[in-house]
Amino acid sequence: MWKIWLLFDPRRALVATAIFAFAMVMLLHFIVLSSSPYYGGFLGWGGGAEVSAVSTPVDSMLS
Amino acid sequence: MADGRSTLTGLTHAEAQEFHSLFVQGFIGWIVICFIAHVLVWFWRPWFPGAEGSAAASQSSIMDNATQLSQYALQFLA
Repeated sequence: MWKIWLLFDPRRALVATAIFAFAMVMLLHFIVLSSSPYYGGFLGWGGGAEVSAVSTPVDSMLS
Repeated sequence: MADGRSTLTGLTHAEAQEFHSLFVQGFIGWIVICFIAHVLVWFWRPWFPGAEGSAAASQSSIMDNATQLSQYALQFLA
């Protein structure tokens, strides 16, 4: 497997991987945050400022 | 190079193996961080059965059945 670095330049591969990973992370995080108030409600995202009424273990610990 | 041939990237086999070990270490570290992050988010807001499934657990539908099946599968795996 290490022979891949004889084919692809490590510097370019690192830069490309970093850019791709960052773009993918940003895209998926924003998709999840905007998907529903269940995940985005604390920012007022995802269809309203109302936070989901669903209580989770962390919610009960924080309150 | 021991055989006198050059590679496309100019790396020797030793250099390629050294970089590869570092690359794999970074990849494993990334996976570990992602796993920890997902565990924390699961504690915060578990995505199965989801907001609708939790809020309307009494309602019966095909989707609820699918959610239940996934819960059973997760319980079986855990």
